[in-house]
Amino acid sequence: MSLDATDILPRAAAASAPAAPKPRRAVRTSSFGYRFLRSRTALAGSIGLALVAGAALFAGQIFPGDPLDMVARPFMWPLTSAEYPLGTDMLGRDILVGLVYAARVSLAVGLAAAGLAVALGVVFGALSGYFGGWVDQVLTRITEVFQTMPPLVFVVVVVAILTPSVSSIVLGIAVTSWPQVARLVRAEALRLRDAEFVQAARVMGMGHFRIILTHILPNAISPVVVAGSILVASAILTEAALSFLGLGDPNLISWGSMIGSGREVLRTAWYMTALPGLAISLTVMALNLLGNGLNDVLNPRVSLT
Amino acid sequence: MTRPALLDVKDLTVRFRTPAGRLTAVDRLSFNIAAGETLAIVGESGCGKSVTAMALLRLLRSPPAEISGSHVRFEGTDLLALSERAMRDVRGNRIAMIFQDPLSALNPVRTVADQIIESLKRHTSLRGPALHRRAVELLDLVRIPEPHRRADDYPHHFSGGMRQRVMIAIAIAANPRLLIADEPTTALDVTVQAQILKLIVSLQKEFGMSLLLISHDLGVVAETADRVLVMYAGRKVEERPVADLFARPLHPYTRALMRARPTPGLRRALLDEIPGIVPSLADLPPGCAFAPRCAHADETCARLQPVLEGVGGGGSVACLHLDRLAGEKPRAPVLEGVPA
Amino acid sequence: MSAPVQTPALEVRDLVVSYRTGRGPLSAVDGVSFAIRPGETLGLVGESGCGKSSLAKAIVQLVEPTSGALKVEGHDITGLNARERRALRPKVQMVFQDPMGALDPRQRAGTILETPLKLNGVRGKAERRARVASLMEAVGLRPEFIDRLPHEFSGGQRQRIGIARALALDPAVIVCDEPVSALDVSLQAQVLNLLRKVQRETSVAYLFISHDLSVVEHIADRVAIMYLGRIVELAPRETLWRAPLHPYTRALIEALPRMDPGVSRIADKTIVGGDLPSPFAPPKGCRFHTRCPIAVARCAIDAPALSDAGDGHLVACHLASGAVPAPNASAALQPA
Repeated sequence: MSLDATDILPRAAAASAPAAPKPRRAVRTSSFGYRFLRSRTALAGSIGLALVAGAALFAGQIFPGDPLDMVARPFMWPLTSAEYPLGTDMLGRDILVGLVYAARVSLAVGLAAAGLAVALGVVFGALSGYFGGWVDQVLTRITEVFQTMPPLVFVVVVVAILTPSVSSIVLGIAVTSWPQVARLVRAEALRLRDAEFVQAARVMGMGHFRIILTHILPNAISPVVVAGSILVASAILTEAALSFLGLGDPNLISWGSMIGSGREVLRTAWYMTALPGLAISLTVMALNLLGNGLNDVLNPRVSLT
Repeated sequence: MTRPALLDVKDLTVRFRTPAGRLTAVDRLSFNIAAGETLAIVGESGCGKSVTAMALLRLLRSPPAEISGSHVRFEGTDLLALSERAMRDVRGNRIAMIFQDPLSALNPVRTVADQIIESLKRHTSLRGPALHRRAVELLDLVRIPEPHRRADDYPHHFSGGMRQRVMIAIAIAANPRLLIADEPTTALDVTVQAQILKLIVSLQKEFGMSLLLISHDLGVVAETADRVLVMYAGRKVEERPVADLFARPLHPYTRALMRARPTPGLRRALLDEIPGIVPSLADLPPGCAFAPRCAHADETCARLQPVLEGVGGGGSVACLHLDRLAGEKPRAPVLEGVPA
Repeated sequence: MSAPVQTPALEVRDLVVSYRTGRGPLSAVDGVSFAIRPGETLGLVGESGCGKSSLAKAIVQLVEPTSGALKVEGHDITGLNARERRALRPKVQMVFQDPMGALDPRQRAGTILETPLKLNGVRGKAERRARVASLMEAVGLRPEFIDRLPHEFSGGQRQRIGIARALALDPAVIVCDEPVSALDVSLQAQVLNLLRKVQRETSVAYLFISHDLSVVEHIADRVAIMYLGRIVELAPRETLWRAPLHPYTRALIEALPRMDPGVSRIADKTIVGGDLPSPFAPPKGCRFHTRCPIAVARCAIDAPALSDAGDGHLVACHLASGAVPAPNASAALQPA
């Protein structure tokens, strides 16, 4: 039984929108940009993420030189020197510079891994949901094989086999996380393939792949975007865990490797572990906020007040 | 009105707070229903007919809904003044309601007998094995074949029409005085629709209930109601005894609605369209809400909101041009159709 | 009316659509035959589960018929390969029930109307633009609506877009599947009038499917009544209404709510009892005999064939007086 006024109202409001003297208003308030700006979560997340991304992009301009250079005396605590505000590590390297350069690696790994996972997941999910039948059976079995593997263990194995490098890490993470995306897209495609507008496309002679590209994917994309931003966050965490275990790319500095090397002096200089840890937490939080915010923004049934 | 009213609604107003602003879904609606009588509220989607039914039982969530009014007096008690707890004793007991979609109103994981028994336990003094016996009796009463066997089935074992019968059995379990039926047959096929309507009407007679029927279908209303209330954009535009209304509709909206409907046996090349669409409740014109679509409207109609005026037979109509319309020969489709 | 030898826009012969389901085989359409001539509207009435939607889907090639023939302007679709079928596809178009669900919520009106043109070889962008503009005008939509999204239209306007889309490819037949059931009465009238106007201008044939006999009675030239996968009666509109022969048709007409409280009150009506039997196990003999008020013993054994009762009035009932089995069924199926 429907007790909620929202069942009655949007219909009345939507039906009347074209007749209203100012039809533009209705258009604007439902646009992505308008809703995005009204969502505090999405806005906060994207601002946080923009700061991290800005630092990573312009690291070379802000701090020219190699982050691995030893520039001052070691074990300098944060906030004790104006020149090295976050102090130095046990080899005398500037921690602030390290954090900024490490952001590059972490974000790159996160974005690349999530991108690859989304690409794989979208293809598998769309084909399996849209075609159904044996195609779905086969693809779903394959998805399940990957899904049942414990992610971190699997990534460790992949990286160990392929030798640690950014690309092997990205591959390892993507291979373990695409099934989530595939399941999401499959559910959407399953729902959409029987929609009347998809039937209409078939009646006018549109081929299956074109239907997937023009009707299924555009309508299935919202949950994928949300899942994608969360995937970036979890990929960053996985990369950190790998680097902490010493399986990161040895030629690059990442937040995880900073934590890994700080571990040995945890009792005397805990800041060396805490600062990259804080960077990871803040970035992951920003991405999660963005993901949750997008979830509201892309769902027209949620009112943003 | 010779019989005392069972339900007396005066100036019922329901507003909703929405992101698009505050809108008035029901605007100062007054009506009453006598014991044993059938009142039908008819109108198109968004006219406020369902909101009215929900507001009577205070089923609307607040916020966003705000209900106000002089009173909603039922058996002498003002429902608007009751506590939520006291209201719960009225719902399902003295006033029962059935909905358009019986499947979503029934619990899918409990047998229909269980669901009837739940209602019996809450609203009657029956206990023990008598409960199940009464549940089967009620299923028999709503003409479900082999009620003994069907009582322990789950809702998904029943067809749409049978589910609506189960809903009716639950509704009448407490022997209510008023049954509110909100589009009870809209989701059903034509022959099943007729079966259900016939069932409701015969049970109404048998139990001496009053019936408030909410419908968009003028045909259903014509076959079932004693009196008809026509709503447009949250307001009552016409209320008449059923025979008067269909013989001589007075309000231009009522007339337009009748002429827009295909009339079997009287084929017209084209139906009479009602131009435009229903206005937004958030942005109603200052005068008569129907004026922008009305063939009889002039500039006065755009400015002045008409009040309800009495016409013969206990009816009332809200139209500034009532005198002119009442004088002219109505263009009801029944008189006008040209056999093809 | 036109010459009797005219090729029908659509001819359906002995069409069977069965599905394999979890509950066993389901024969949704069980040997249906009819023909529609250009510019004609055949109304198809039946209650849920009668197979009318499956029939519609088979005609627009959304499901594969199990057997039978489907001829569009004389060309049999069922015997063709994929490429030849694709060439005939534009000839049969569809208008859907739910005007909102039938439009992609993320596509603008212009894109929705342009897509069928693009898909079917209208190459020039300017040509497509012009065609979209004329389609919008034909269905009464203002040209500036071209950039609107579906949710910015009212229900009636959305159905206009659906009709314009169906018209885009100059079809011979449009299958209208409950096109006004989701609309309010005032919008119903607008859409029904539009369909009629379009037909006058283009001579397109309609198969108009509805559960509502009063709507069909308004728009159709001939009416077919379907019950559990079979056509039980097919007659010119006027004949069917004034002199129905099949007891199921009579039951439908009796059940129809009328706007005449002086004559027609539900309490005084005799309504056919019972529910539709399960389509998984349809009754033997005449499928309506379980609910039929006049059934005799024979009805439970023999399935009555669709027979000619004169003047193009076909009925499948042992007890319909005047109905004689047509020696040549195909002759009877042709429109008069």
